[in-house]
Amino acid sequence: MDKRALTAVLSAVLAVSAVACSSGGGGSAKEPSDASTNPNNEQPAGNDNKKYTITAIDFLFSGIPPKNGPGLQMINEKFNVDFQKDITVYSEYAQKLTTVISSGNILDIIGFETLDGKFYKWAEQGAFLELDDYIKDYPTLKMVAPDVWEPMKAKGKIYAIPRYFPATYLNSIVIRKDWLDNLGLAVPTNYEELKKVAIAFTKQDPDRNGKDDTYGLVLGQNINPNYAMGPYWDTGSWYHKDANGNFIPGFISEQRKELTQWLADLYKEGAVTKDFAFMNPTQYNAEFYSGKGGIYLGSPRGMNEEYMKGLVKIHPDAKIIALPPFKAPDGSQGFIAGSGYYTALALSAKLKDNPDKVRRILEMIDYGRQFIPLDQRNSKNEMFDWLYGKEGVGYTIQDGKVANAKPEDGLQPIQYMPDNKMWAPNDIDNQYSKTYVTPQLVSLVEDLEKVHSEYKHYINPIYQVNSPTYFEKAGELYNKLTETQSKMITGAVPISDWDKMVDEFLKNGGEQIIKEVNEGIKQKGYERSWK
Amino acid sequence: MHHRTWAERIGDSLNVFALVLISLVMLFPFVYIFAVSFSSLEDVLRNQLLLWPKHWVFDSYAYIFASKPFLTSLYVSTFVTVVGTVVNLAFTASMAYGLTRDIYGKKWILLSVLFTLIFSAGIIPTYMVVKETGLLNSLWSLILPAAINPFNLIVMRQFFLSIPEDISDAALIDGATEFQIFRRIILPLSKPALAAFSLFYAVAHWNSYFSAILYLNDPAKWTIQVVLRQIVIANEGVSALGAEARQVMENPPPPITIQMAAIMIATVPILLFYPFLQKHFAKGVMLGSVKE
Repeated sequence: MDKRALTAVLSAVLAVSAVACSSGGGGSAKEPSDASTNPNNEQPAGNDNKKYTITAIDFLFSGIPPKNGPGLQMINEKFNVDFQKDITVYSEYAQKLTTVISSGNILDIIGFETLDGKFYKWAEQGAFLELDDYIKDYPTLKMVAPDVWEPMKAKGKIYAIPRYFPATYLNSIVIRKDWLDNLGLAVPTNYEELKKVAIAFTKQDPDRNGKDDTYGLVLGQNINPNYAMGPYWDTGSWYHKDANGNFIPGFISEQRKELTQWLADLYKEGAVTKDFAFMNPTQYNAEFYSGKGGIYLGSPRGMNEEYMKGLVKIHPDAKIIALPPFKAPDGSQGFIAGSGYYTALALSAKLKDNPDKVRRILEMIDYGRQFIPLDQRNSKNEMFDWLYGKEGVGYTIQDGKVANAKPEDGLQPIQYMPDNKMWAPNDIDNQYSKTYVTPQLVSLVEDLEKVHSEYKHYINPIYQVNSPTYFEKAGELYNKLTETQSKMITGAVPISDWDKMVDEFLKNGGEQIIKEVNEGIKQKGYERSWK
Repeated sequence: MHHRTWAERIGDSLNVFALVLISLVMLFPFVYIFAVSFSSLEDVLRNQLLLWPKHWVFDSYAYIFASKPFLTSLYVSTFVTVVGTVVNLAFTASMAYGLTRDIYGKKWILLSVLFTLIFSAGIIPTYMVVKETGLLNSLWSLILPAAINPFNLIVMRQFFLSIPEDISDAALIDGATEFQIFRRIILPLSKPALAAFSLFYAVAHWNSYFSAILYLNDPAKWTIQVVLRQIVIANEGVSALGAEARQVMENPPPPITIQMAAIMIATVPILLFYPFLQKHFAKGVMLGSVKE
């Protein structure tokens, strides 16, 4: 190469390598080394007036409070502690947690988003404290159902405390009742009827505006919502059994194949969001809330007022109702239950010799989990008032609802508490419908609460067992299945390739996963159950 | 003077055409971000593709500038970029120059620098080093551990070697110390290289994201990229296993108009670096790569 070409190539290499984002090096997670350094100021076991230094690491999606906000000071004062909480941004939490723990720095309280392979491995290696003996002393811990404790166990002992998530209030399908009424259609009760409705929404101008701007099913990337009207058709539920009597994931079941064909047929008719494979949640959410798609997702918890207000502005007559689960060919009819928790807390094994400190920590955790009924969430309830930072400072009451101060001001103890999710005795006690303001949203959530209380929910056995291969490979394998099934819906891949897809799944680890999961299921003596 | 033939003209026009096309394609996402950031949410939702604001709206920018965390992080990023780049240049230049002189162990030092060019310690050992040196939760953890980039070091050294020895020899005879030679002769002659490297280092600092998350646990110390990530990609966690994460969005992501405004504010400052340093950049990039 001549001089000019050489300088050109070298300068290109230099420019590219220098201007690319700097990264922190490509290390991989290693096993936790022998924890030799002890960063905590361990107080000797003694009287309970001791001021403990408690360290914690956890994450938040957004609205992360400042490091030493007034809310934190209030906690320190109330519980006589020096509470140091490291709150990380969600997106890199897994990496950071692995790095921190692997460097031997096991903090007192450790937050986990999911209890996956890492959690079980570390638990088995003795990083965490056994909690079985402490549970009976704390009311909110006693309230946790036995099937929710199962995922917290390793080697038969409990190593983590689950954070509340309604077990039965997962996302389910909702539909535009005003469109059904405009077209004189009844609420669909099976897939044939739903197909007709979806096509009608697409071709018969249900919003009566003379424009061809509506369609049936809203769909987004990763085939969300997957339009399973019960565990019988679901992807992630382990409901069906194969020829050998082993439970299999819904992803590879014949029933899912039928549903995929159903979606493909509707896609051909234009009754499904076009280009759904490229739509992120913000985008496909907008499909429903801008009045284009008429069938979508909803759940009692976590609905957004702004989106609904936006829809009402475009379609003032919008009325949305919940679609009850369909009756399956095997006679089952019901929703899918969740794991009953989301995120969990583990305590460091180093606390074993300091039971007084453990009790102080559990006291703090238990306090944050107390259930306060909806009508008592105001300044008259001392606990609520304290947790939310005192009326007028951390929150105000507007139109009978709690309006919180800005998260970045850190005025509320609840932002810092190790566990700040009330553990509701039953899902319905949350009274989610009363927490919303927009009338259409209130009526939808009321309807959702009603259907959830009328139908049973399938307990998915995958949450009860610990299969290492599942944690290691299922994410990737499921993604591959979703990808192929997305292509089958758009028609890029023929449905006749289904068996090939299943074989690939089995070959690349699926077989091992099924084996391990079923071993765990047999061990626990589990049969298909509902709640 | 070489007269261009007809064929050459056509060739040139085709080149220009192709390059303009490619540039437009690359500019396109940025135009979109610009347009959405100055539009109202309604306009964005109503139109499939917005390349120019229908109505100019500044609400998104007002919202961002009223957000304390965002502004704090802008300040932090500016500090880290400015101070960090100065530190980078000081250390890299002095070490590079030192390695051009005959010093004891020069070969071994160069070899170990080369070694770090190829192998990296990895996240966990680096974290342990930062922790043990007490730099955790300090802004210096973003500046000191990566103070010298081995590639930049080697190139800068090459550049220094390309400065004729006669000048420094003459200065030596006149009684100058090594340090004086470095300060008064070498550095002024190296302005192009220094400008180019300051640009590379500055961009790297401005992009600090993962190190900030890993080492800093005080939200007041986070860099702009961390805050930006929270604003723009607040709805992650979408895998088949983590399906429930999607359902837990208590705080939905800010509307797309605010996300785009945040991107603009986080990107434009560092973009402005380029035109100012461009003349040095073009010269500096190629220098040092070939020994005269």
